[in-house]
Amino acid sequence: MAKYYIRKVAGFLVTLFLVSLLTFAVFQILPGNPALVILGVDADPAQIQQLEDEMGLDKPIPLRFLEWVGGLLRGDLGTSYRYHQPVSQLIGNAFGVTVQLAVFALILTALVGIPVGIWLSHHSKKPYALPVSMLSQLGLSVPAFCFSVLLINIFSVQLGWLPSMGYTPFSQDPVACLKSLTLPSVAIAFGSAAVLIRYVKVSVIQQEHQDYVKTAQSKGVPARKILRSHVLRNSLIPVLTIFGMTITDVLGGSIIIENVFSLPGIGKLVSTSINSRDLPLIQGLVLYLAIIVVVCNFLVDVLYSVIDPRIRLK
Amino acid sequence: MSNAQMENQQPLLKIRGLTKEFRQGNDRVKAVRQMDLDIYKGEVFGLVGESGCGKSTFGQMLVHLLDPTSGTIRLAGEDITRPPRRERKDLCKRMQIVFQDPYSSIDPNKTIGWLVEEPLKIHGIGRTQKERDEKVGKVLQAVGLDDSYRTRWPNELSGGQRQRVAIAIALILDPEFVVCDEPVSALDVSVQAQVLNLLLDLRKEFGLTYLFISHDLNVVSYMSDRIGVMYLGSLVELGDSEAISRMPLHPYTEALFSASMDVEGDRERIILTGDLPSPANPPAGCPFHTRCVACTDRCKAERPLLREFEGGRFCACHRVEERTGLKPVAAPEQKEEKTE
Repeated sequence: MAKYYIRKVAGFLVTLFLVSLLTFAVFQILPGNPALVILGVDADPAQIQQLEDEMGLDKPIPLRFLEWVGGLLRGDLGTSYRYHQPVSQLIGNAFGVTVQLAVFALILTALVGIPVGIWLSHHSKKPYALPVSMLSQLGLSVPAFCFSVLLINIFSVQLGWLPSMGYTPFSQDPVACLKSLTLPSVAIAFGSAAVLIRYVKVSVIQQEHQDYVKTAQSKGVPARKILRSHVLRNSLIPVLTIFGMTITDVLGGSIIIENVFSLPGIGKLVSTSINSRDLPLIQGLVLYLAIIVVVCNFLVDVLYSVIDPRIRLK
Repeated sequence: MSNAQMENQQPLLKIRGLTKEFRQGNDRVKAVRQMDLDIYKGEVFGLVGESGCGKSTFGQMLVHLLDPTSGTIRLAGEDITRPPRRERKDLCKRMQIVFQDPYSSIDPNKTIGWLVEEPLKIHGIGRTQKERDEKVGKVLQAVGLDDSYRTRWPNELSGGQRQRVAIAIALILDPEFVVCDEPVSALDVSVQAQVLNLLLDLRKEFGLTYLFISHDLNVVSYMSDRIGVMYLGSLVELGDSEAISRMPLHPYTEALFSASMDVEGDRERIILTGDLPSPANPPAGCPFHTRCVACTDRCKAERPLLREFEGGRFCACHRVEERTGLKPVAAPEQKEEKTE
């Protein structure tokens, strides 16, 4: 058991190192001189030379990598060209917003996706289930921004219940904060719940065809109890993977949603950093995204081992 | 058990005209058609047939995992064909089932102890945890698993051990009647004998009656007192296990025996040609005529009924007399059997 976790943590650390190496390497290969990018094509060569010195671009690449990793370990990701603020601070601020959005969206996704998926698994052939199936099909096929525009039109423009854009920090005004996050999280959850519904449905149906369900039936276990204590646990194991992917997705910044609703989260930061060719920021964000993916996968793995004895014992 | 003994006894299970239809698109498929069968207390009744012949459907109807389309099932004289919900639950205590594949028939996500104890909790047997633990320990011991298995997970167990657990789960409620639905066909040959002997030992120890379903004629004749041979949803032959293996009456039974390996002596090997016809579209006349070596024009036109012959044997074939020389028992008696 302990061995399992030690192996997982070791793998996790190695992955992180490789990610940082790769992130660094990719930006060394990129064509173009960062100093030139900052100063513009018409810049004076002396100026460029000076800036290169400042940025340490004249040092050999391995040394720069070590410096960069050293900075990483101290939490220093460099300074944004555009905002003239430490990259770590920019990402930290945006992360706060994105995490709130993610938590909201995921709670909605789980609250809708799991029960509806289970319900559909039992009623999928009934005519009254058709609208629900169609709605989940719609969630899969309609892009989130289309749905966002629809939501804004109804709840902000027509009804005026919720703001259409902007973000209020929780510490400033909790109610306004919740309001500002409602529409974007609904927009995200619409798509991800649709995915979850399908997976839950298929997984439950698959488990219910297993003989252990018949065994329980023949023991006189009531149907509800069979679902609760046998089928659900077994069918949620594969669903966990999908849920993990959704978490990664949302935490990675919903670039489009955050832009539509002007939320100052990771997604917004990603798009502005790319538009303004803010290399240190882009580099920091790529590293952040990689870490999110690795961490989420790690957590899903650990959760798996908690839920599924087959994995724990291997 | 001899025939004389059986005649003196009320059957434990009395099954009449049991039929199960499944819908397949617009078609209705008769998986089991008009089965009449008595199973006596303490016997092992073997049901044998190819896969898809309806033997599992039949077994699952007996323990109410499937509802029959028509027909009746009586348990010790009491009609249990379509019990109300509460009685259905009580019936679980009297009739149990062991499935074929022990890899899917026990929940992989629960410990062995939990799984064996669950039926006790469901039926409110054993007031204290201690009382239940004791019962679980006893049953585990009876199936040859020691107490250390309680905390183990299904995936740590071999197929044979898993099947022992499945048997323990079936026996914890102390049933009278157990359907064994191909209980060894998913196991290695080396383990099969162990599990079969365990089942026979448990029958003595707990006074059980088995319906033993299998496609393997060797296994069935080893286990059973009497054997029923099923083909396309109905019985084609029924009788004493020993008598059937000595001289099968139905050409299908004959073919099954000649296909099983340890057939002794000069009997010539009959190889069936063609597949089992679809139960959705059964052949006219005798359902077996498409594959029968002794098929006549009459067989193609007229469906043979299950008739009784000398020695308490039953067979559904037009040509028993001319092929074996056995004489049918007078018709009125058979009618009685039907309408009972």
